[in-house]
Amino acid sequence: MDRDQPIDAQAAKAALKDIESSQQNLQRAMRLPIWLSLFASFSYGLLVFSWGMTEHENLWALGMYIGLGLFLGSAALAIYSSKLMGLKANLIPKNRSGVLFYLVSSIAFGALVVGGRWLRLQGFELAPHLAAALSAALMFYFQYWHPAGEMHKIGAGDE
Amino acid sequence: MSKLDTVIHAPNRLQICAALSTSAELEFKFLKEQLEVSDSVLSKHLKTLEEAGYISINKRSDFARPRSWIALTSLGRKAFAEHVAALKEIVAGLG
Repeated sequence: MDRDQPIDAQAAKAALKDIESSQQNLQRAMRLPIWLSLFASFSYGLLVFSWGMTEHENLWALGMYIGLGLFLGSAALAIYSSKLMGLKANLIPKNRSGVLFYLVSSIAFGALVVGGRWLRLQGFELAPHLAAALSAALMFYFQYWHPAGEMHKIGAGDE
Repeated sequence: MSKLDTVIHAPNRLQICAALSTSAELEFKFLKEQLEVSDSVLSKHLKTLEEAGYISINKRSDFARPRSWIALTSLGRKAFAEHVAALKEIVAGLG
C-alpha cells in the first residue's frame, strides 16, 4: 500500500477492529489475579478507613500504616509478577485516555479519602466506613476493568 | 487531515503498535505469544518499525537471562495516533 493510496471504509473499519482486539487482549493479560486485586483493594480500604478514624495517634494510626504497607507490598508484587510475564504497564500516562483516567481516578479517590474523614469530623460517624467500602470497591473495579490505566474499558462482550 | 502510515498499516505491525501503545514495554516472547507469530516474523516486523524510528529495543539481562524489551518511541506514539485518526476519518467518511 502506498502512503497516499486511500483505503476504503471497510478496510479502515477492519483495521480499527484489529487495533481494538489487540489492545483488549493486552488489557486482559494485564489483569492481576483476583486474590491480589482483592488483597490490594482491602488494604487500600483499610488505609482509607484508618485515616478517617485517626485522632491524635490513636490505634487507627497503626491501621493506617499497616494498610499503607500492605497496599504498597501488593503493588510491588503486581509490578514484579507483570515483569516476570514480560509486561510493563504505563505508570505515567502517555496518551489522552491515560491522562483522563488518572485525573478521574485521582479525583474519585481523593474525594473519598478527604470526604470520609471530613464528614466524620462533622458528626457523621459512618462516613469512614462508607468511604473505605467505596474506595475498596472502586480500586477493585479499576484493577479489573481498567488494568492498563486508561479510560477504555475491557469489553464485557469479550469475557 | 491525518495520513495513513504504510509502515504501521501492515496487519502484524498494526497489532504490535496497538499493544505497545497500551503499555510501557513488552518483552519479545510475550509479544510473540500475543501475536501468535514465529520469532523470525516478529523480528522482521520489529526491524521495520525500529528502522522507521517507531520503536526502541533494549536488550537487558533480567532474572539472569537476556530479554529484549520493546517500547514505542515518542515518534512511534505520534505516528500511531495519527494513523488511528486517519482510519477513523475514513470510517467517518472524511477520508
